[in-house]
Amino acid sequence: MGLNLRWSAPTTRGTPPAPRPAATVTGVVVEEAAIDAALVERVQAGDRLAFDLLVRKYQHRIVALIQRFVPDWHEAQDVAQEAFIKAFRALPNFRGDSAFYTWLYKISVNTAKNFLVSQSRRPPMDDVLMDDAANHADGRMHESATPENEFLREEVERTVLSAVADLPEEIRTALTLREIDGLSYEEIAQIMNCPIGTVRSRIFRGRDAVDRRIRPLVEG
Amino acid sequence: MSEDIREQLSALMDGELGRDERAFLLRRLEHDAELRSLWSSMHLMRDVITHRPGGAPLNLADRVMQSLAEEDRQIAPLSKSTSRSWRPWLGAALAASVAMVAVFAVAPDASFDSSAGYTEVTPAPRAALPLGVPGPIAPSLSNLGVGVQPVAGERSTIISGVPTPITAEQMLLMRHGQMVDGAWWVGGTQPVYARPDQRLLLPVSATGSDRP
Repeated sequence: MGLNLRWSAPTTRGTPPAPRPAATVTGVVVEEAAIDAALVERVQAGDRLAFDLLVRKYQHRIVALIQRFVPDWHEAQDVAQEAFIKAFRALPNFRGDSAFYTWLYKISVNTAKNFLVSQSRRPPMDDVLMDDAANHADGRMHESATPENEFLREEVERTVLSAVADLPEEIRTALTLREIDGLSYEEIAQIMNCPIGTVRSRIFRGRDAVDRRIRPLVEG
Repeated sequence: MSEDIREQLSALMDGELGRDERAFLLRRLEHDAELRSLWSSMHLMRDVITHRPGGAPLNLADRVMQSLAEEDRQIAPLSKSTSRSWRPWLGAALAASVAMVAVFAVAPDASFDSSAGYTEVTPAPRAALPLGVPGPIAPSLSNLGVGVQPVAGERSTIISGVPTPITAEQMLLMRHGQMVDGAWWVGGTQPVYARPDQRLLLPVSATGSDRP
């Protein structure tokens, strides 16, 4: 992958952002947790489609996590499916003491280990750490991925990064400040010296443009 | 799907929507498959940009939801058959209830002797009767000469699960029953108290109008 978005962040008006501080990253996590909590609340109230949104949000991360235990692409998907179903069944008892993803992560790891035991395969002795699982680039499919899937994955990645690089500079700046630096709309507005509504619009237009590029791959 | 809604979705995944807007959009997502598809796409995009572990595009959400729906379809007939298995018991319980009502309707007030003041009545011990053998509902009732014939095989045991003969006093209390300060009030000036030792003070008259 030739493009490193981490170094393409803002060069336009205003003060360039400092390297992403840990507190901001935490802020993003908190925001995500708040959205998840709202979705979980809806699932617990009987809205099954809210769970569909949680699956859509975390499916890639969970499959990648499970592939660290179960490298085969198809088996990993089956195990991930089972993990999500277990999570759905257990959601009525989820009290929100931890973040939803933390909880889902544990269910997924346990499901993967149980799968290995059921297959008379030995689960790894050491657990995958949470941060490791969330950020480990090596979580992508490797040896057991089919060539087609691997090609498609690379194609999606290449298309996304290419589409972002092709965005008008102001849009790309707003999007990367949000996605890579994890800044809030308010912070981005201060940096880019524009109203918050403009930030919101620019970020959306960036995502919309990328979506139009990857949609044929995703739906194909 | 309007651009405004899609922009709201973008803001939602950044946690930048107000509570009301968020609630509205989540409701909208329930009915808008295209919007949910955009949600998936935007998160895939985010995973790629932030170098999170990702993979080829997945349709895992569809598989999960289909699987859950399939489980529900399998569970539904099971619960139906379970409820069907209770029907005979429900029928028996209903029949027993009808029998009870019939008993209450037949028990005449005149069965009580109005010639003596208060009569102390001790309920007979609960004798175990063989199932299916018609017998008196309660010895005290037969002692009072009430010509009540219970339905064969359907003693009051069906209702409670244990032999619980119903005394004439209890019938009276239930027919006219009103509780006053923890006691069954059967009329007149004196309530009838049910003591822990199961001994009842029975009024001489069902109406109680002539009690001291």
